[in-house]
Amino acid sequence: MSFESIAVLQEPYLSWLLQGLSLTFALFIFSWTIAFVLGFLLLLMRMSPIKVIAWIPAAYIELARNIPLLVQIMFWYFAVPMLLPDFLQKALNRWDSGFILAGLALGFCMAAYFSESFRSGVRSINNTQVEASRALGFSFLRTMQYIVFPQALRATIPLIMNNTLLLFKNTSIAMAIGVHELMYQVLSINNDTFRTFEIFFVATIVYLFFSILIMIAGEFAERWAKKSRRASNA
Amino acid sequence: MLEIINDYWLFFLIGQYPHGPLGGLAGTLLLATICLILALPCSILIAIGRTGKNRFWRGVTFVIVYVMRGTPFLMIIFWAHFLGPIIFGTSIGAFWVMVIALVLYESAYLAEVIRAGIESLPYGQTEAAKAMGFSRTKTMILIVLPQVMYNSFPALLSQFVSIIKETSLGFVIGVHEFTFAASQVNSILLVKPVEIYLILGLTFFIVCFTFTSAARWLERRIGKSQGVLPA
Amino acid sequence: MITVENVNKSFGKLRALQDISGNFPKGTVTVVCGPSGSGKSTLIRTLNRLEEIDSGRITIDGRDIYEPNINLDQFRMSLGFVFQQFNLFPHLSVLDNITLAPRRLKGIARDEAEQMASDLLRRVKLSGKEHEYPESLSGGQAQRVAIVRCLAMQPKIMLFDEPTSALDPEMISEVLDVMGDLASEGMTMVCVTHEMGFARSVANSIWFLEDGQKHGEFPVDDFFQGTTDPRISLFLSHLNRE
Repeated sequence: MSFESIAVLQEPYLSWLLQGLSLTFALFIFSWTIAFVLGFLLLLMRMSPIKVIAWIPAAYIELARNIPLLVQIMFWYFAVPMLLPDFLQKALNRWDSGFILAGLALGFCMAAYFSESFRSGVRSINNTQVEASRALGFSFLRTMQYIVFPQALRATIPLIMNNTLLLFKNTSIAMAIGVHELMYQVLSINNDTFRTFEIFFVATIVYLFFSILIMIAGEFAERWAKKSRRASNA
Repeated sequence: MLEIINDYWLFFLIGQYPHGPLGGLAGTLLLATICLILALPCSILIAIGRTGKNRFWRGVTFVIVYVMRGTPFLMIIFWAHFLGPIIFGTSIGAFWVMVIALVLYESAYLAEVIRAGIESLPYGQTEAAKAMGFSRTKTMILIVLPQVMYNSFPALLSQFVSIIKETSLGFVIGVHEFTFAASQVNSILLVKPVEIYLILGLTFFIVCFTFTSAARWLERRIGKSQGVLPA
Repeated sequence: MITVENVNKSFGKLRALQDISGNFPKGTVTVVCGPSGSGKSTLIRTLNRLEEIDSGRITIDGRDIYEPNINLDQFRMSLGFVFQQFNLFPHLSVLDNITLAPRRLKGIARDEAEQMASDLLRRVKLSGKEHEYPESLSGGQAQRVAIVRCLAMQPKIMLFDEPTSALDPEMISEVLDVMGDLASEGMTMVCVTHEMGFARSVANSIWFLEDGQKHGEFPVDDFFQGTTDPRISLFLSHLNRE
């Protein structure tokens, strides 16, 4: 099967695919940024000494993690605009509302997973580490900078990479509300050409390629984390 | 919202049954349960292959796990939807397509849970069995797997929550389950999406959170009992 | 009964066993001792092939245990091996830990196996523990169960790999007593242990290993009184100081 003989890789389908892929990327980057920032904010709130403020992110994380992503996307797409004031609804419709709402849904949902990863990173640090550092005369901030943060990062990065993979794969669910990302385009090409096997094969390879990139990055991150943890134990 | 629940609770619960296939929440739970029952033995075999000595099976199971982990679940569903009728020679219906897709996908994830369990078992356990004259197969069946299944039970229960959540994607190929039922109600009522999707989301939450909490509780219990194991 | 000839074993660059030879005669108790890292655990583990040797020969009752067509599982059933960490199966009760191998490997009926297990438990003063789980046993009890678990297979030889090293001091004697009883019944035993009191009163001969080499084999009395080897004197003085 030479490259040219794959009908679904001829025009116009190649453009369809590439458009889908670029929208998948856009969705991925958009929602990843939300997930990362919001996840961090949730963590900060959760570490708050004020019970009520700590309780809010905890409850949100349970909600986000115990409701199917598709349902969350549907809620954002079908229900949330109804709750918005008129001018925002109009603004949404002027832009690509499906893309924005799917991105928000993905980002908000994955923020819960990201936040849990951050938290397990922080919790992996033994309190004696902080005590030892303070006993040496490091200030609280220096302790965070030299002792807590580097260790937490090591424990967190592999988990974040795993969440990143999950997020990347989940961008495909946006097709359910008509976002023209890769999976949507694949189904369109299939409807147009009926070359199901070919187009599914191509799409699977494309998805796998990027997933494997993320997994390899995760593998390296894990090795790096293990190595530096060993070094710090020695 | 109460009005909608009042009018449609039975539909949410069991779909069109008995005038059509079992759907709604019952459909979702049935789908998830069948998947778990079928995927568990598959995943045990994959995990054994992954941790075993045979290079061929290690390679095969490695590829299975990584392909499944690297492919969006929707893609697997569409593959099953496309290949199912070709392999079985007849249309098998969306429900069974979804079962196949879920079993394929979840076997890989469950296998990783079980593999972690096998690898975290103290090496002395297999060594003691070996020293007593148990073959590799007998060691696996009598010594390793019973402990792994017990220790991994909370993690398996958490994975069951993932399965429940994933059944909702059957929606895209028209499987009669809970999300499908809700969107049907939505297209009948048209103007009540907030209420309908709240009902849908919160019901999923109640079901999933129950299992999640049970898993956590069991994990604490099992963790505690392991804590006092002599060495 | 067990003959070891020119056995070598390396882990990477570390030569764990260098040219070890000797006999463990039938009906005798041999204590293998030496400083940590001397290769004594490796040696005892090669005797039932938990560790494979690189070269040399090990025969048991005249049979080369490294011959290619040996049925390893069958062979191991005739040897009891007691681990430092007990390695009881935590998912099985004491009774099931003991009866699992007789039932599943020898096909002995459950009743018969359980009867035998109860008898053995009485001998090690653990009657009534049948239905408890390993997690509720003390270290000394767990190790006695581990010994009974081996005895239930009616082994020809018992191998002990530092059986008391993981125990609290007050529990050591209850395990050593069981081992002493076993020896007085004529069991062939090889024990890797630091318990020199046990060695003195129970062993017939003592092997001394250091850095993977065997530095002699001594009748018990010679080892404690007459040796002139400075390494052994040093080893004994270290033990005494503890």
